[in-house]
Amino acid sequence: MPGRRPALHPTMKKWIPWIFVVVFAAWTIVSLWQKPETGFHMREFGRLPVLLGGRIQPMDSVARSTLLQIRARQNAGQISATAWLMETMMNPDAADKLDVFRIDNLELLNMLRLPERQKYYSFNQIQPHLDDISWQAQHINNIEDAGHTAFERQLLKLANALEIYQRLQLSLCPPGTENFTAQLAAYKQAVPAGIAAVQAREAGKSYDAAALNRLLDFLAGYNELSQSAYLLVVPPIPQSGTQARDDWQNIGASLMNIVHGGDLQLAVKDYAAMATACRQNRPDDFNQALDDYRRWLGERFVPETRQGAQEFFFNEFQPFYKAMVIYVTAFLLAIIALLTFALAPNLSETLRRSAFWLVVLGGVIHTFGLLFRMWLEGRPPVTNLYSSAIFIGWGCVVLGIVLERVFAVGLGSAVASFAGFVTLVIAHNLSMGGETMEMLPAVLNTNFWLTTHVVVVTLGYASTFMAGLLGIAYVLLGLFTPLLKHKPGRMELGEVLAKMVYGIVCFATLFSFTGTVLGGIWADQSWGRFWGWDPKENGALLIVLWNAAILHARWGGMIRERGLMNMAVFGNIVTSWSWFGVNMLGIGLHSYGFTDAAFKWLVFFVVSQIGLILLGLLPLNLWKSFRPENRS
Amino acid sequence: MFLGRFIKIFTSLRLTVVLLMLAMALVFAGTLAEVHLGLYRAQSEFFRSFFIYWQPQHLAWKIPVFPGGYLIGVLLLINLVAAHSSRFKFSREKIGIWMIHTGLILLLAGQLFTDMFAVESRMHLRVGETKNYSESTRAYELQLRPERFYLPFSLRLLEFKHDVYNGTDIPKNYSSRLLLNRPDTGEHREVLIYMNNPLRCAGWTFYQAGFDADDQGTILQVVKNPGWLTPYLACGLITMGLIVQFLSHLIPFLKRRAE
Repeated sequence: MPGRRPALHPTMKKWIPWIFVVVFAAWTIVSLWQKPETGFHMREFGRLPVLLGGRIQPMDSVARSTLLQIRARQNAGQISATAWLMETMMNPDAADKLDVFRIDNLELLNMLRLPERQKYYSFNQIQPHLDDISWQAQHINNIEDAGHTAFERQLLKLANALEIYQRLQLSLCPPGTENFTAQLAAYKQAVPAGIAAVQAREAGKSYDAAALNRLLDFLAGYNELSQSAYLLVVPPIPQSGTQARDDWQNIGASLMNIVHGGDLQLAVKDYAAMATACRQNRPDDFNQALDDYRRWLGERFVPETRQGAQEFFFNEFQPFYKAMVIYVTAFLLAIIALLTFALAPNLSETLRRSAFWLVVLGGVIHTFGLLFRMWLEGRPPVTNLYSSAIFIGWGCVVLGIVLERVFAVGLGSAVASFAGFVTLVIAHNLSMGGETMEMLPAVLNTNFWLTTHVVVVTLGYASTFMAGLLGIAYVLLGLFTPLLKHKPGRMELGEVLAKMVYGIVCFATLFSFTGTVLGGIWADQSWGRFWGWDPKENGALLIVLWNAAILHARWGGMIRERGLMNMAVFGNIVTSWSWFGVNMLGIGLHSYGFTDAAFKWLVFFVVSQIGLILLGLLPLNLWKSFRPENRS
Repeated sequence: MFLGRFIKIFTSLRLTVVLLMLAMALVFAGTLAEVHLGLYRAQSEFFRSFFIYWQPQHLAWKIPVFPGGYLIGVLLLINLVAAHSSRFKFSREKIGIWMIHTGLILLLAGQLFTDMFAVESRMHLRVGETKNYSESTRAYELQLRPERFYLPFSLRLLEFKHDVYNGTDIPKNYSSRLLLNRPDTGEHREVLIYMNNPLRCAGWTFYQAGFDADDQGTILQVVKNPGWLTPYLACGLITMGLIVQFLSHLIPFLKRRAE
């Protein structure tokens, strides 16, 4: 064999893959171990369930999703998202000084007279221009949407961030409250006298104006809270049997209820105590109120408490980020394994196996994240664009693992890890809107069709992408390395790739066709027509037609190995159009609106694929693998 | 001689691939056209036509520039039938392919039938209102009122519900509770129509489509489609054929690998 190097020690060769796996598995799990908290028990606060966006979620999720929209990060620099949320809701004056608003656009910075390059700005810095921003935002929303400029988009984003921020500040305490607990006691005392004054006035008798005004002052503040609060923190009153489980209220509404004869809810009392303790920097009082509330909740709201704790765990574990890191490592190992195949066969084999087992580890964590999301939502795996990216990645990884088992050459691991990594990056970018587990609109209230149509068609997307990635591998390996002619087993690598791509295209044809048909049946059951030429339907049809064209072209001898690969790469363009392109047209049932960044990336991707196809069309005698001297 | 050549073209796989690619170009262009032409007009011009025409600015005549949906469909159908009758012998190995292609023919023919004979219309009811007809959605330049389709029964809207998730605008549920009154069978009962749950009666199907802004009125999509069964049969056949074809290659491949 050419290029003989001393073999690795046999034991090392056997154990290196396992060392990789153990190290990364340990890294995955070690983040779960947390030191017990001193000071404020912020993690316990983070687990408290609240209602936002129509679903029960922990404070931690609220903190992360709002901070993503404001700061484009899930933390506020040195402090965690939950710590920031606590500050914002309970200690607004201090929170106003924190640099949390992300602004990059120069025009906007100039308009706000802010220093450039600071990246994150505080509310205090922006505060003098609030009216201006809101006027501009209104003006932009009124003009016909012919596509906003970058400045307009950034301004709208800032206006949205400011609204969320201000509404968060009105979610727990009325503005300017130093001691909410004392205020509540005073309010409770003022209610009877105030109501008596109202009744007296309505009856035309003399009334206590001071008592009336005192009550009205309180109510003005609580009314503002009830109108503007972002989250609903007060659980439904347990005793009324017909109460819906999601009938949570915000603090303002709950307090206004006292005037109509309601009680001061324990939740309100405890949140007020927490707010007061936070403001006065007394962690023991905070923790006591927190424990009191948690105990009460734990007795009456078991599913909600569980949901809060489980989702808190999920947020902290960050399975998709961890899987992404593992995939990158696996990809590097797989590539090195491929490239050293002829030069250092033993090293190559060790790296190939290490890559494979790392992909499996990544796949296990990826699967865990996917299943956990399904458990939290109570839904099939794909419900929105974000989860479609997660699922496509998962599908590619599973396909790649199968390929690697069948053809143990490192290619399966390489494309699996590459696809896994890229789709998780796409998913991460899609999560910047804040909420990824939003409640589904009524038209999607069917788990059956979400499980059948959506899952099958998404697997069709995943497999078409896999074929395309293998095609890219063929072109790059063939042009720049002699590897296509090498024989890892009985067959040349080029032939192995051809078999893989052919098999995957068959699989893709089956799944994309069946998935599209299931979509048609769903549409027929829901809207009365099997096919409506909607852009998304057309996109799916394009994928089916292209996969069919590849198969028929091959059977008719119109293409051979290289043609198959080039057509497979073109499949990437068709699928990216169907997955993302059609959402940006502004029409049809799957219209998500035009985003600048997404469009730019789509164009970049399409151009890159066309570039690869052009490379693939170069005469074969220019390919390093097919030059006469490389025939082995 | 010429006939032989002609037949050879129509039975060739090359034609199939060309037609598939033309179909793709058509679907892509048609999708883009929908943005500025609107769904209905783009459909008629691109998909429900034999040719796409280009009309030069100041001239009255139109030039066909690209085959339309019907033409490509017809050519694919001829190609399919011709290829099968000349080249494919019915054999066990080819049974998957036969199923797939037969299913495809059924699908295309069925969709053509639907295009010609299905009726789509709308019924708008305010709470308490009763109607025994639906109205066409097509707007014509000269019309006093939309075309009516009379039904052998009447519907009266009793209640429309529009639930949202607490604290959001996201719709949780749209549902219309109606009273169905059908004289010829004596049916007189309440029915509930909501998302993904239509009402089927006397060959007509009613879907929850929209509602009035004040939540006191419902808009139902009303469809009569005699060809409704064809896509189900066709797609079932094609899917089974694909599975048969796929497995008949996969299983020997795996057996060979095991050796």
